Amino acid sequence: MSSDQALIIQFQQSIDKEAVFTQLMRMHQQKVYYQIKRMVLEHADADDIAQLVWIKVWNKLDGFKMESEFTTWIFRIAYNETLNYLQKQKKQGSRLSKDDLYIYENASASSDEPKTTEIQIALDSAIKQLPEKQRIVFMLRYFDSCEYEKIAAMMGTTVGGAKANFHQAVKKIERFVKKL
Amino acid sequence: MKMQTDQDLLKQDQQRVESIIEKDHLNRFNLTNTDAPFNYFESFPERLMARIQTEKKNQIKPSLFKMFFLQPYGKIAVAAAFILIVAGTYLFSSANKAKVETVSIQEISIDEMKNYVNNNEAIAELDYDYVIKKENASLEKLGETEIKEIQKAIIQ
Repeated sequence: MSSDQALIIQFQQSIDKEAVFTQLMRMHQQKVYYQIKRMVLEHADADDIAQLVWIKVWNKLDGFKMESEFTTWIFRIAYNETLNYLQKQKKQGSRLSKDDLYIYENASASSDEPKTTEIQIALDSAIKQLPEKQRIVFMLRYFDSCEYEKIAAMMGTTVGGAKANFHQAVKKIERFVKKL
Repeated sequence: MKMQTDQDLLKQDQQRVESIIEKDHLNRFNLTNTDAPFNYFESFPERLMARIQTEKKNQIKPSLFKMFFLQPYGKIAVAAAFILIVAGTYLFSSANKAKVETVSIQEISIDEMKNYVNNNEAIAELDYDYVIKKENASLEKLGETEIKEIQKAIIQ
C-alpha cells in the first residue's frame, strides 16, 4: 500500500482528517501548483486555482475509490479547474510580462552571447502561444518525463491524442524559433 | 520490455526538442515559469485549511420551508393544490350561474305583445306601415281582428 493510499484510508475513516489532509497537501502541493502555473503562467491565478483544486479534493476525497492513482486524480481535477478558469478569464498568454523580460535581460547580462536573450524570449513566446492542451502535453512530456498513458489519463484524452498534441507542439516551437 | 520501449520513446522525444532548442534555454524556461514566491509552499496548507473551516462555518442551513418545498414531493404537493384551487373555483362559479328562463310564445298574451310592440316605436312603425302598404289599408280603417292578424304576422 502506498503512502497516499494509507493517508486516504485514514481520511475516509475520519481519523484526524485535518492533519492527514495537510500531510497529503505537503506531499503533492508543489507538483499541483507547477502543473497549474504552466497553464496560466501567473502566480496569482495559479494560487487561486490551486486553492479551488484542494478544496474540491477535500470535499470529494471521502468518495475517492482509488481506482486510479491519487496523483492522476488530482492532476485531472487541476487540469479541468484550470481550463474552466481560463475560459472565464479568456487569457491569451502571448505577451511576456515585464518581470519575464527583466529576468532574461539580467540573466544574460554577463553572457558573451547577445543572442541568448533573444532565443530565450523566442522560446518563451513560442511555448506561451501554444494552445493550452499542446502546451501542457509538451511540458509534462519534456520537463516531467510523463508517459503518454498518464498524460492521457490526466487530460481525459487518448494516448494517440496526447502524442499528436506533443508532435504539433514541437513543430510549432520549431517554426517559431527558426524565424530568428 | 514495454518499460524500455517507453523509456526509449521518451528519450527520443526529449532529444528531438533539444535538437531545436538548447537544453540550457529549456531549463531556464522551466525555472522561470514554475517558480513560486518565497515561503509560498510552507504557508499554503495552513491558509487552505483556514479557508475550508471558514467556508464550513458560513454554510447556511436551509430553512424548513426550503427543505420541504424544494424536494420533489413538495413540488408535487404545491402543483396539486394549485390545480385543486383552479378547478374548484371554476366548478363553483359554474354552479352559481343563474338559469335562463325560457318561455314559449304561446304563453305570452296578446295584450303583452301589443304593449311590447307599441313600446318599441321602431318596431311598431316599421312593421305596421309595411303591412298597411302591403294590404293597401290605413290604420284607422283597421279593425281589431285585422290588427290581431297583423300582430300574428309580425310575431310569425
